[in-house]
Amino acid sequence: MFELNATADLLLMNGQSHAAIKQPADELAPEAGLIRSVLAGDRDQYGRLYDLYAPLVHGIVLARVPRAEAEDLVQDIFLHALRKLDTLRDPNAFGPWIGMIARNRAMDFHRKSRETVEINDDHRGGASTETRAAEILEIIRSLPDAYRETLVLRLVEGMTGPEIAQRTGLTPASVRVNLHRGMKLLREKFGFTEGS
Amino acid sequence: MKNQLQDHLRNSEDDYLWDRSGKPDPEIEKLEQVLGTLRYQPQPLVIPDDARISRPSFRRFGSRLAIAATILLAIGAGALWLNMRTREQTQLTNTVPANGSLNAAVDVPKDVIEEIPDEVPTTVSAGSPDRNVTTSDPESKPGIRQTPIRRNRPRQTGPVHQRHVPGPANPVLAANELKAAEAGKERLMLALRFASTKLNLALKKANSTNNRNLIHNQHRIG
Repeated sequence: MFELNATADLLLMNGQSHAAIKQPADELAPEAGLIRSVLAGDRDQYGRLYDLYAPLVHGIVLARVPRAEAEDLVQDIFLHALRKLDTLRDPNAFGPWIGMIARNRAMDFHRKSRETVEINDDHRGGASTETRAAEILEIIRSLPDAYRETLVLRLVEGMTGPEIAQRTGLTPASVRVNLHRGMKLLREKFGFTEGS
Repeated sequence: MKNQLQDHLRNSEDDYLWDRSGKPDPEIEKLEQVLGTLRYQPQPLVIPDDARISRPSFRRFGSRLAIAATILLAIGAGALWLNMRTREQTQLTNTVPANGSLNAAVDVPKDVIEEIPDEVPTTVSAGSPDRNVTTSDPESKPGIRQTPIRRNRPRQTGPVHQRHVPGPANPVLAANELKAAEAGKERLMLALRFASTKLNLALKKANSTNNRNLIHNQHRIG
């Protein structure tokens, strides 16, 4: 029973909609069923896949592109994935697959777009918390690729380590190391910025 | 003792970073609070009407089809080559006149003539044992010419008038044979190379479709 709840929690991404879906006992990979339904022509099921994986895609994108662009890019990525869904060989690997699409699209974004300057909330007179958040995110973005994505998923999207591992297809050990080292680097950066 | 306590505290902090178990780390909690404002806000996915849901198509089975086609092609090429080779040899036997003046009619290597089946009468007399072999051959049918390859094999065992002895005794004939064999080998190698290239191409295609789900830079991620 505990394992079932844990699995459901993993799928619901930090319990954002705990009551939304209750997984049957024998269904280990619900996204596989959803994907089959989508391929059979049921568009509504894709909406459920979107609900499940949008935070992951948002986190991956946010670690690479300006926040203002992230929302639109998430939608683009899901529409692109819908068109290419037939190329997904293993329905259980939807998370790693769409994660890779998100990374590629974020790279394309940088390749295509001209140099842009993200407007800080200071200039817009926004709340100080958001300003601080944008600053911290900028510091996280300056970390190596391996760490920033994991840290954004953990600290921004609120996913736990096991959730990140399951969604991205990385091993739990890798995620744990990335979190630990990334946090260590982040602390060092904070010390550096505060000191200077 | 102090080090152990520090390690324990660090581990419990790591646990909190890992799965929110253990002792909460105030620094991480603060970061979660602040960065949580940037969290994904659920929005409905707008699917345009013209966005078609793709379905498993030819692409999915393309690689398998390509491999099958390559194998078929290779078999076809081999069969074609064999057929051509057989035809060449048959033509060679057809050019041999029936009056026995073998070397005068065509410039056919002596060795090849020796291997020509007995339906082409040679200077051998009717009473000779070799003649008897020809007529008593159960496979020989009037009007149907059989290939020398098939016909020559059993003849090696019987009492043949002039048996071919490979070796330095007939150096010119051996060279001709060698030439023909080399040409055949070249053709076969060409067909095999062609088939191999096609197979490689098909495998590459298959691998490229398989790799789509792989995570790149895994070594960098962890």
